Amino acid sequence: MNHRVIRILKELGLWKTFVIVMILRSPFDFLNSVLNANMLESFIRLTDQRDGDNLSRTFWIFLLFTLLLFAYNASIWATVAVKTDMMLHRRLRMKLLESMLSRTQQEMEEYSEGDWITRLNSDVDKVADYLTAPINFMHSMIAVVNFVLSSVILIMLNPTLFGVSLFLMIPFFILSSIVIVKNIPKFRKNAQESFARYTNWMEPIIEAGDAITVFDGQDIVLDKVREESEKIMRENVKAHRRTAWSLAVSAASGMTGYLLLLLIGNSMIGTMIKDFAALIKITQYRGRMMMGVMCVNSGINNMKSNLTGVVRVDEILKAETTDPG
Amino acid sequence: MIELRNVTYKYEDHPVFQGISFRVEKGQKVGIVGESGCGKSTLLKLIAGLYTPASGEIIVAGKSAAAEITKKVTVVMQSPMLLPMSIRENITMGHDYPEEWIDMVIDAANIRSWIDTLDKGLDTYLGDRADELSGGQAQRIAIARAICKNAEILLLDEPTSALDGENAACVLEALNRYAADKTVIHVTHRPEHLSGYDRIFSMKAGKLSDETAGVIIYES
Repeated sequence: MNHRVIRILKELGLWKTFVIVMILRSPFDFLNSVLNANMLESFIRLTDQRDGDNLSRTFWIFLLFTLLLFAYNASIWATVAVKTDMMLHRRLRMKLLESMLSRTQQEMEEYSEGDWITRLNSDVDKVADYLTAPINFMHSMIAVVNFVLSSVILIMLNPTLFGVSLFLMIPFFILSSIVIVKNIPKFRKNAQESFARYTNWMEPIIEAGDAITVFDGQDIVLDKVREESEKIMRENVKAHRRTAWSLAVSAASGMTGYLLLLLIGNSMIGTMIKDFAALIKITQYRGRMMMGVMCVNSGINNMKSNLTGVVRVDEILKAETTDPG
Repeated sequence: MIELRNVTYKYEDHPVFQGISFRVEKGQKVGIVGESGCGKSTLLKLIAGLYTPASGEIIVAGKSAAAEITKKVTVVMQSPMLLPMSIRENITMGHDYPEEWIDMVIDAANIRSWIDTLDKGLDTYLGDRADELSGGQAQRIAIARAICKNAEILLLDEPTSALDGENAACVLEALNRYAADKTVIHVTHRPEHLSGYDRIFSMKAGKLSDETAGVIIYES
């Protein structure tokens, strides 16, 4: 987790709550992986053995576990996570307002009105999104847990498959999550700054409406506002393009699964794989491992985008915390 | 040059003026004095074509349509109304003027010495820093904008009310120099700023009187 996010959470008194919610939620994907892998293995094995009685019993057992797991996850989402999200929004806005009110006029003027409005709204939303929105930090952590534990199981089941999977996965991950997304925060920061300048225009347009009319300034005002609006769009498009590339690379890495089977197929024809059911089980874990990596990759993309808001909010809170007065 | 014929103006269904009529000749300088809230700024905005009368007619330099009237007037308001763009753009409002004309405007508005101290001169971006300008600096940019438009009629709405004595004198001097051959209507609550004006109107308790001629122009 970014050090600024930790500082913000501690500043808001939500650090412990957030860690508890994270711990409560983190096993979901992995437990789902275990359930799916074992269910498929059992289904194929029992079908192969034409064991109808046990197939029916297995169905009910897996249905029960699946319902319990989803009920557990939904209850965490619907109660604790939503409450934490609401508290985060409320406390963050209050803290920022407190910080604003404790400033002198001169300190307030360090930022334009549009900048303040952007920090209080769009940037606060970005902090909350970073922490709790889908495919951001929370999902990434769940995906990491899933990846690590699925990897451990895969190592135990078939170390060769794990090694080759990892070997094929790493270059894609580095390319997608590190190289391609590197500049996303810069693009998002530029977009937020343009958004603040765009917001700055709203008050003069309203207050100086008479002057704009008398001096026939509609064209220049429209040009300026359009310029800022286009800057926001341009920077966001750059970020979107990077995200799209990153996701494309990530998706391409999924294709490596087929290559992998062909590559190590020969070594599987032997003692490594007992039957088709066992093969399905290990490919399930490999798939889950991949899914974890893809989720982390997408999470990193989104977190990089939302980090802009985190930095801008932290700037204000940090200034207040370090103020010697 | 400026003629109001039986003009009625309402704000949220409440009449502010009802059937007001008067005429200002070309080149005349008219001051309107009165306490805050008596409606003198509203009257100025009607003359500027910024408000539309409920009935009656306003003719300014032969034009009666609001959009045409605004082309014939230039204004300096109580608040300078600067926009987040460069000083040059605030003065020209995006219109093309010859560089010599802009030079003349800067001298006329008395901002040359200040502009020369800025690294980027006229191209200094006011943007977020518009608030950092002193009231005098901001108002003189507004005056430069008014001069730059070079309209036949100059409308002034308390242009010095937010300024201290020295700045106010400086701004008034710049305005009077520019307005020598213009038709001027100057709204203020300080009659001492209207010395040398041809006519002084007084607005009080719903009544508009021509103090110079000693007649009541309008009584609500």
